[in-house]
Amino acid sequence: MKNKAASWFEQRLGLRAVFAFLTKKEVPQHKHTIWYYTGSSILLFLGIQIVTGMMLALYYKPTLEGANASVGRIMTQVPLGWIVRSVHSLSASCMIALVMVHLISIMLTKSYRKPRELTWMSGVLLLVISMGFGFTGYLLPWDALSLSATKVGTDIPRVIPVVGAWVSNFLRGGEDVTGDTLTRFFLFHICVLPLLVILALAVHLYLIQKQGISVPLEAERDKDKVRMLPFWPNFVLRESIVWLVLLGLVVTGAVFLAPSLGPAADLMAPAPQGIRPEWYFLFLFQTLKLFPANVVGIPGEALAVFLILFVLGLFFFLPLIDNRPAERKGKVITGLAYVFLAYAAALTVWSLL
Amino acid sequence: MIRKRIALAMVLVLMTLAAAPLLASGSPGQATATAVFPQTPPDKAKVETIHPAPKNIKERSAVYVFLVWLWLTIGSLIYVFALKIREADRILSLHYYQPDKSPRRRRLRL
Repeated sequence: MKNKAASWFEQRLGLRAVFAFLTKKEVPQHKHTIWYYTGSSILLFLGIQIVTGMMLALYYKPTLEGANASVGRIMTQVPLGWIVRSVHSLSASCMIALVMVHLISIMLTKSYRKPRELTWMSGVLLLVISMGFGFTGYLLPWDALSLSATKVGTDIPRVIPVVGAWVSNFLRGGEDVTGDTLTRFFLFHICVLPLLVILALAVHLYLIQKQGISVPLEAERDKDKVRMLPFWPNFVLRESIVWLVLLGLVVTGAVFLAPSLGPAADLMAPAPQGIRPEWYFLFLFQTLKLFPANVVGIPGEALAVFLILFVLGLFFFLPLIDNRPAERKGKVITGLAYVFLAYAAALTVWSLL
Repeated sequence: MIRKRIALAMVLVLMTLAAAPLLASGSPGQATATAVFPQTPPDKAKVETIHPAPKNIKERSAVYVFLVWLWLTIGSLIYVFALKIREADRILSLHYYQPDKSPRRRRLRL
């Protein structure tokens, strides 16, 4: 009976080829192997996001009157609702943190080098989409802080000439942040961004399978000495332990660090004190605040936005910029990565003080 | 093999036990609801910040029991996986699936 069922599925799905591929797949073992776990752990947090997001969507109402009240209901009336919301919020932060750590580890080990340029680019795209999830999700509780932060965030594109005002109006669904913005952000959060993340992730995973897992430059020089670990079951079992520990930490963190919910936002009320975006936007927020009103006749905010977009562009096209032969890839990119990390950390701490 | 079976049995027992305290004391969310809503007039509830911490000792206990169960289950599963990793690594070192590279086969050839 069991064999018959297996044969029935095999004839239709051809899963044997997938299993054969998985048993042949290998993961390099060297002193930087730990970074490989960051990539696969992102998938754990994405899975948690999808499951908890669907649970929250069962009760959430994306309307001006219902948004804040429905989140309040989730936190106080729905069984285990506050833990589910807290896990969703904390795992979102963890996912973005891991995407950042993963990209930085790739940058430091120069794993973006030929032929993995597109893998890097799809990774950067995934970071941008993840931050988009954070930005759109921040407004959904519709409290005073999230409304003001969204007003500031959606106002920033206005400094870009020609298309800026259009982008801002498109995000807001009008001149100002209103109930239409909430509906749009909810749509982006549960429909548009998930579709984009699935597409980018599919491309990213396909490229990883096609090119194989990269090894750091220094390990590649002694390629014969690199030990290969079978993906199944050796690596999967190790990864399972990492996933279990992360799952435990997220649930424990969700119980003790559950986010509170402020009173419903009032569109006519003045902005409250201490408007602050999520932690991953803090260094950008502080960068914007650092610039003076005018720099040689150019508005400071516009200059800061262009600078941020320029750095993001450099980051995206890094494999094409640093296209020297592998043996000549030097310490410049490593140095720049450390400078960027120090800058981001310093400005984040400064913003929190 | 016996140790593995014991560990698996432990996981099953822990998973079953987990449901008991939560069912007995009600879910933390329900406890919060009963703690917040009846005591607060609707107008006041609108302007107050909702802090999602456990509101009473019963709820707090249920959450702590859940966390203890979670970590015990995770610990047991890690133990089982560690055993499996050891076994998988041993098979790998013996080149079980690549008989040509097997040290035993090489010795036989000599």
